[in-house]
Amino acid sequence: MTTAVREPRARRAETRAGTARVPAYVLASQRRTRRAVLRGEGPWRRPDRLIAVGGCLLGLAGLVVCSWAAAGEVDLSTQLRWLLGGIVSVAVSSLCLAYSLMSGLRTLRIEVARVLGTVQPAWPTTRAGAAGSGRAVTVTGMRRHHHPDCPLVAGKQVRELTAADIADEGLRPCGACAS
Amino acid sequence: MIGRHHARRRGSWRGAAIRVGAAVIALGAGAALVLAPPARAADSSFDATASAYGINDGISNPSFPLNLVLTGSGPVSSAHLTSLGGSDAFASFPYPGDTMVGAPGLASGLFGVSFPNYPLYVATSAGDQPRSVDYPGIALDSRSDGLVSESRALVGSDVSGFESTSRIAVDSDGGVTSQAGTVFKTLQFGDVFTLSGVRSLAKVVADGTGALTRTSELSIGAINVPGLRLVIPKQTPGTIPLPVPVPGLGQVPPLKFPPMPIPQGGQTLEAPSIGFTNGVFTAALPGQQGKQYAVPSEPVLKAFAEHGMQVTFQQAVQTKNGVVAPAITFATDFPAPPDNPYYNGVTHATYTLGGSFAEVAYNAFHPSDGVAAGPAGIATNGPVDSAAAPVAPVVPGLPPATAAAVNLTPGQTMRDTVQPANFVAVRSPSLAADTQNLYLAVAAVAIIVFVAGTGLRRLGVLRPWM
Amino acid sequence: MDVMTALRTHWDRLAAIASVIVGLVSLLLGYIGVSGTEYVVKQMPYIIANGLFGLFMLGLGTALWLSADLRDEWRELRALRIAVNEHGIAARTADAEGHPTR
Repeated sequence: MTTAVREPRARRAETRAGTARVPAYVLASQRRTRRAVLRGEGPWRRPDRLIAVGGCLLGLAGLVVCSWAAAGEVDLSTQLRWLLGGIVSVAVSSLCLAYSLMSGLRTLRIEVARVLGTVQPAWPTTRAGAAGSGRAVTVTGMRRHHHPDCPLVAGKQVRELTAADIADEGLRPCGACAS
Repeated sequence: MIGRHHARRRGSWRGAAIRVGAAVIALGAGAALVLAPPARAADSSFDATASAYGINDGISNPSFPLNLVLTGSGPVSSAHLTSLGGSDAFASFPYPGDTMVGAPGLASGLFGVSFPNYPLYVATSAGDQPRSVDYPGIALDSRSDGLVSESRALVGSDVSGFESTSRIAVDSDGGVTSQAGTVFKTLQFGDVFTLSGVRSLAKVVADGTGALTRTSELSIGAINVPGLRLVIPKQTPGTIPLPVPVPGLGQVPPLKFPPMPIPQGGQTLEAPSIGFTNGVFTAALPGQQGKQYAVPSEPVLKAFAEHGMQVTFQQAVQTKNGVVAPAITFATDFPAPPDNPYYNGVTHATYTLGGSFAEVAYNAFHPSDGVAAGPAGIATNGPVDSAAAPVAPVVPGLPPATAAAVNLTPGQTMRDTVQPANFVAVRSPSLAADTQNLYLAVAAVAIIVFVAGTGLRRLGVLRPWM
Repeated sequence: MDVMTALRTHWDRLAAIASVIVGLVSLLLGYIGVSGTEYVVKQMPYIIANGLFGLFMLGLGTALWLSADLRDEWRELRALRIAVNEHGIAARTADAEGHPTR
């Protein structure tokens, strides 16, 4: 998929003091990348955009042709054919737009999985030695249960869960911490 | 339990599916009730015809070979419907007659060459889609299906034109209604006189038992004749002839009344606007606008004659299964042109208005006695224009026309050799409503798409798939 | 964020609003036209030109709005990924003992 943003690198010496000081050039690089993210083109590849735009233009052209032709007819059967042509035009453009949306959605889901995959290595779990080994927590409104150390629940008001609670509420395991 | 959660979701889906299915079934049943054709009385048959002719005109001149009389009529509409599924209708203006309309097809068959069909003619038969022909100032429509056969010929516009309509329809109670009529908003005969609001109507309604109700009318809202002077008689005549004979009794002798004074009798009306309703001239007396009084026909006819116009009137004729609406004929002579080698002599022209015809031959079978009951006639004449209700007694009507003065030929048939015109749905409330509903359906789909997208946004675009 | 940047950022939502408005106006004009004539042959062009076009524009507006939401999700994810990567790199650089984190 797209990797429009390249992660900056930080020099080891600048964090040797133990503080999370980030070099100036890293900060500058991060600003550039954030701007790029804000103005990012989204989860669509070039072919997806071409299909969406092309489908819309095709549908619009078909509608124009069919309506212009139907207006000049006095024969109802001929007009019905142009009506069918107009419906086909709208259907073609609808399919192209739907394909584009679904393609973007697919890209987005892959990106979600990638981010979650990134989160797990960045915060290695310590399930084996954790005092709360086997515990599960969740936050009100979430649909998954997490390890207490999972970064996705860090800083949030969590509540502990038992196995029965997980089953009753139908919570799924977190993809990052795999609690 | 996770399973209970999934079970709840399955249950909610099942309930939604049941509700949707019930709604579909209810809609389908409702549509079937609305769209189901009305039932006709069992074991009955009918053959109905309706024709309207607008103006029938005839022109003759000594220069015409073989003393031919050129005739024409229009706008013409005709409809025919039978219980056996026969359904046809046509509309035309100007209507040159069956021979001229069918001539191109006949010539094509004889000579093997394709001749263009007469363009100002549209016809349909059972199984055809409604057809229409539109030209500047002329609109012809025709429609024929199992329950309705109708046609319309409009010249000009709905506001200031003239039209003929014929319609036969099977009623919801199994009866049949046959109706033909002509309406002229304004008709001007050179500078001789002007007619406004001419209306001819012939209508026959057969109920499910075969009983017929006949209605006919010929009314003219206003006749303006330059120079007409109308003297109101001082008293009523001693006899009053009944305008229409009672069926089965023959012509009833005129009624005798003692003469009575007429309001404003003896007064002379200068160029009044005179109406005409079913054989009786009417006029509004000075100072009493809004009321129409029957006026004697002699001064009116005399005024026409002074302008070279002879007027004759044929009363409504009741046939075995229908009625021919009253007709009025104006005859005039155009002066001879200067001597020339082509066209000489006085040209005699006649214009006949009215004469709409409607008929329903209805046979309702009674299984108990096994005898087909023919139509029982209930003849009515009228309705008399409410604005023309006379206060004074009816004065003698116009001298009746001879049979030759009115040419009433009911029951035109469609020519199979006529190529179908480009077709368009006839003006029909049900058809227009269907198309309107189609548009509303398209708009509803658009709104639903938009609402569904908005709902998905509220849920979150990723949520249904995560 | 200045106005131009906001317009450039939310161009898809603006286009969606415009499409929906055009579509609704088209449907309204089409209904006025269809109800103003009794002849089906004269109603059919309104159905195609206004009805189907209105349907097309409303569908396009809906698609644009959904794509705007998808794009927002995409941006959030990208920002989150960058933040995670930055945190991971900082942790890596802080922990110089060679524990692999990616």
